[in-house]
Amino acid sequence: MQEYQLIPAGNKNLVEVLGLQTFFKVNQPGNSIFKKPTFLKAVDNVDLTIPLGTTLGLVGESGSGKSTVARSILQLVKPTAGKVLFDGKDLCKLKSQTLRPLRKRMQIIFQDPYASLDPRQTIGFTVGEPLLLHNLCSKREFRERVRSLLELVGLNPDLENRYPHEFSGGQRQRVGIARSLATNPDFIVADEPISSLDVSIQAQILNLLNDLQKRLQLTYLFISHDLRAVRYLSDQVAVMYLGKVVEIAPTRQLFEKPAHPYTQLLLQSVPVARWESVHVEKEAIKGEVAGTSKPLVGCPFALRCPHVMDRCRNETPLLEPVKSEVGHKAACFLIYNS
Amino acid sequence: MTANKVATKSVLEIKNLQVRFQTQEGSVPAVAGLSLRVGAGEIVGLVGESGCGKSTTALAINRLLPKSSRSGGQILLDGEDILQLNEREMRKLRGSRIAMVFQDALAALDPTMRVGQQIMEPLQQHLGMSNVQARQRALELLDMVGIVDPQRRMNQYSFEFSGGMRQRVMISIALSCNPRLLLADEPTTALDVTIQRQILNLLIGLRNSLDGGIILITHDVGVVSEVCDSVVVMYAGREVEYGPTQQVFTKPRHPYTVGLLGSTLQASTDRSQPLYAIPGLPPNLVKLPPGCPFAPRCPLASQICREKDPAIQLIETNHGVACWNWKEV
Repeated sequence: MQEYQLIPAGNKNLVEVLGLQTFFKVNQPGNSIFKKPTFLKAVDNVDLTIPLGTTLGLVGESGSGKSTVARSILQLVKPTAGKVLFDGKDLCKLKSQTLRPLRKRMQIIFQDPYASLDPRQTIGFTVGEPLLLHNLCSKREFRERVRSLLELVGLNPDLENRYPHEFSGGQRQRVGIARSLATNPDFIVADEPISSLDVSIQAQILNLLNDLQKRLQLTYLFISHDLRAVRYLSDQVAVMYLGKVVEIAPTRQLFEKPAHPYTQLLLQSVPVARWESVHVEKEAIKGEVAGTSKPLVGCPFALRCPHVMDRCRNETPLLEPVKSEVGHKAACFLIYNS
Repeated sequence: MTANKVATKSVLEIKNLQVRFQTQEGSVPAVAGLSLRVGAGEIVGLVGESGCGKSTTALAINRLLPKSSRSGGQILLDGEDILQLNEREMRKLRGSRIAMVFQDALAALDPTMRVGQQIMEPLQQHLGMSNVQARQRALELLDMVGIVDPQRRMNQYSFEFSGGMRQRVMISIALSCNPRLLLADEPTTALDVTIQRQILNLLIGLRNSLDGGIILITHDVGVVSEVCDSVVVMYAGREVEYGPTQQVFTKPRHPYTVGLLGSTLQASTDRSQPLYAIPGLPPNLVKLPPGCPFAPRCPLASQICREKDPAIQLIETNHGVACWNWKEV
C-alpha cells in the first residue's frame, strides 16, 4: 500500500537539520515603513540529527524556538536559511508539489486536542481524512483502515461516528495521534502532546507513544517544556535558549551531567516529587528570557548566568563537544576552558 | 521545617462542604463532603485531576459560585461561618481577609487599568488609605514580590508584563490587605519551570512572614511535595485522603493517591520502566456509580466498594483516608 518501503534499520539519520535559521519580520510600533525592518530570530543556526527509530527531545522555555524548529522541519514555516534533509532530500529546496508526497511520511501531533479537531466532523472522518487527501486507500477500504487506526491507539472502533465534544482530553489526544498515524509516517513531531492533559492521562499517552514507536519503528521529535516527560521518552535531548541550541546530549548524560549552566539551572527548577522533603527553597534562575528582536551580542544566556565572564558578553560561544562524552555538545566558554 | 508541626490556631476550617450545580443533565455534586483545616503559617495543598472540585472549593470559600449552585456545610474563617454572611459583609471580606491568586493572571488583571491602580484599589477600599499612602504601600508590595523598578512598573498596563511578572502583581494585590487566608489556584501552571521556581520560592518565603494560612491548589504533586505542609487529595468531588504531606506521599493509603504518585513522572524516570497509568477515566458526576467513585478504576476494588461509598476515617494522627481496603494499600 505504501510507495515508500520501510527504511532498513541502522544508524542512518532520518532527519538532519543543518544551519537552520528562521526569522520573522516584526512590525515595531512607530517604525516607518521606509526603515529597515527588524527581524526576530526565532531559530538561529540550529543543527540537529535524528537517527531512524529514535526520539529527539527538544526542551526550553516558552519563546525559545522549539515549535518553530519543528514547523520549519515540516516546512509549515519557510526557513530563512539552512538545510532540512529528510531521508537525504533537502526539503527546503523542494516545490510544494514535489514536497507533497513526502508530507505523508512526516506528521504532527498538536498540543491542544480541543482546538486541533474539527468539531463538525466525526472522529472517524478526522482520523481517515489524510488517507483520502493522499489517495492512500479506496472508499471501500476506508472504514476498515479507520477502525484499525482507532484500535491501534486504544480507542473503541465503534466510536467512529461520534463527534469530538463527546470525548475527554485524553481520548481526543488519542484521536490526534491516530490521525497522525493514518498515512503510515516515518517521522512524527509531537509538539507538547501531553501538556494539556491530567497527570494520570499524561502517563497513558506517554506509554502509548512509547509503545507505538517500538511497534511501528517511528522517529520522533518530541517537544515539551516538561523535562520529566522528555527524559522518559527521548534518546537524546537538545536544550534551546533564545533560538539557539545551547546543549545537546544523550538523555542520561544530559540529565546526570549537564554541562551548560542554563541546563543545570533548568533541571534544578523542576519540582522533583521527592516525597521526603518539604519546603525546599531551591536556587531559581534569575530574571526572564529577553526578547529576540534586539540584536544580541555574546552568549544569549549571559544576562541570567551565575558564572558570567567578560568574554560571554562579547563573543557568542559555539556548540562544541564536551570532552569525555560521545554526542555531548554544549555552547559555553566554561566548557572550552575545562 | 517539619511538616508534622501542629499549628497553633486554625485560620480556616471547612466542615463537610457540599456544592451542587443544577445542569440540564441533572444535579451535579461538584464537592461532596470536604473537610479541611488551615493553621496559621501553614500551606495546605489541594490536589486532584480536572473536575475533581478543587477550584469549586476555592470559589465556594470566596462565595463566588453562580446563583444556581447550592452550598452546604460550614466554612469557618477565624471561627465565623462565612456561608451565613450576607453579600455586604462578604464584600468586605473578599480581597481583605480572604485573597485569591488565579491561574491566568492576564485574564484576572484589568487590561484598561494601570497596574499600580489595581494594587492601590483594595488598599483604599478596604483599609481606607489615602492616595499617597496607598501609592507608597503599593511600591513596597511590588518590591516585596520581586519586581524591579516598581516606580516605573506602577504606571504600566498588564500587557506590558511577562507571565511571571503578572503573577507577581497578582500576588502583591492578594497580599495588599494582609489577608488571613491566601487562596492560590494553580498559580504556576501557566508558567515556565524556571519562573515557576521563582514563584514557589516566593510562596515559601511568604509562608514564614504571613500570619495567616495558604491554600495551594494544583494538579502537580511535585509542587505539593516541595511547598505544602499538609495535603488533601480530591477525587470526584470528595476528599479521598488527607494528612501531613510527607506522610501521605511516603505512605499513601488510598489507591488513587498511589496511582497519582505512581503516574507522576519523577526526575529520574526513564523509558526503561513502563510508566504506571491509572486505567480508565474519571467518572461523570451526574451519573456516579453506586459505592466508591474510584471503584471502576481501582485495582483493589472489592464487592463492598461497588455497593457502599466509604466515609473518611482517621487512621493515624491527622491522616485520614476514604477507602474500605486501606489496610491492603
